Amino acid sequence: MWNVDRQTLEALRAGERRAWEKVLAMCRRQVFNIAYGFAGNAEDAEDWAQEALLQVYRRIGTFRGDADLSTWVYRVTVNVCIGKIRRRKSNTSSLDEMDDHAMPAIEDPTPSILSREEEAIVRSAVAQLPPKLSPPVILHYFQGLGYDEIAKVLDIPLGTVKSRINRAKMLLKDMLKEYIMCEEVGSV
Amino acid sequence: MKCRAVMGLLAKHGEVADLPAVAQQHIRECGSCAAQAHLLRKAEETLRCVQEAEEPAWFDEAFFAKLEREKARSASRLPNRLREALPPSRRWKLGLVLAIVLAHILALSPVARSLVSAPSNGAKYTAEMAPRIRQGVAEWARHVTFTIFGGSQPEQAPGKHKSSAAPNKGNHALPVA
Repeated sequence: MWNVDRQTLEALRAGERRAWEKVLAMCRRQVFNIAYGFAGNAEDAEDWAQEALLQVYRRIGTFRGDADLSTWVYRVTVNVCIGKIRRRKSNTSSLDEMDDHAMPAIEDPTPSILSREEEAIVRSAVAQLPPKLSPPVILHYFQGLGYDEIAKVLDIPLGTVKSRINRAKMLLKDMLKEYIMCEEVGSV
Repeated sequence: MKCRAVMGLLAKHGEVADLPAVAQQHIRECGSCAAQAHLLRKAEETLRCVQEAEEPAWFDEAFFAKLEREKARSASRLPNRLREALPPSRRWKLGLVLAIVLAHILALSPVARSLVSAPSNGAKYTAEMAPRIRQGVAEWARHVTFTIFGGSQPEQAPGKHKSSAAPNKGNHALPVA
């Protein structure tokens, strides 16, 4: 998490380019990463991240400075992404609809690194979680935020964050079942 | 302990290690629950393996130009300028005052009056209906009196309603206007 001083905040409100460059340099990667978690693919993620940053730019006047600027930026991003997901047509292919050959061939059995295709499967599964469950998962696993930070960003109690992450994990367990079993067979 | 209850606890706690001893014992003994717990652990491991996305290429001059255009566009709109001029706490107060003023204006408008006032021919309608209602009630009262106490039917003024001339026919209902 990061924040800016009062002077920088005033400069942001005034639309000073140097201040914006500084802040966008700090947050662009995180914003894109969150958007990627929601979108499940890089193309949509770019659009959504740009939209989120535009919203941040437009609404900086409404930021009261009570919380860290990063918390507010993540919240704006999450809200933009949730709105996009709601509007998104249901024409994206689900994991169940994927062809068998779409499942990646496991080249490297080491569990610490996922191939691009494997990562796409995991991100796609996370993107298909219910809108309430996906934000904590994305912020925790993809963004590396702690439970208390997620509670601040989403403005929900700490216990709710934990329960939503656990429920999401149970759903992901079923969604990624085929992939995990395939991986285990490949590694044997 | 049943498998369903164990899965419920697992969904609540998220980790096998956080479960009560009884549930942990069940998972050790039940093949199905052990498989589910294993899948859950692997799913979490997989989630942790997802790396941070690479930085996109669009963050350049073009994006800043877009921001500048956006700023110019939003600044030209009156509501946006008003919104930016007011801090959030005052916006609520101003909004409340505006809502009250608007409600007053609406309440005093001719449209609002036409909605709550009687129709323009209301007085005439009442004047026509009142004698007929009074007459109907009086007729009904006479009929009830005649039925209960018997005796001769009360005299009717000539040329009155036909129903009052033949009260025995069971016409107890009020005459319809």
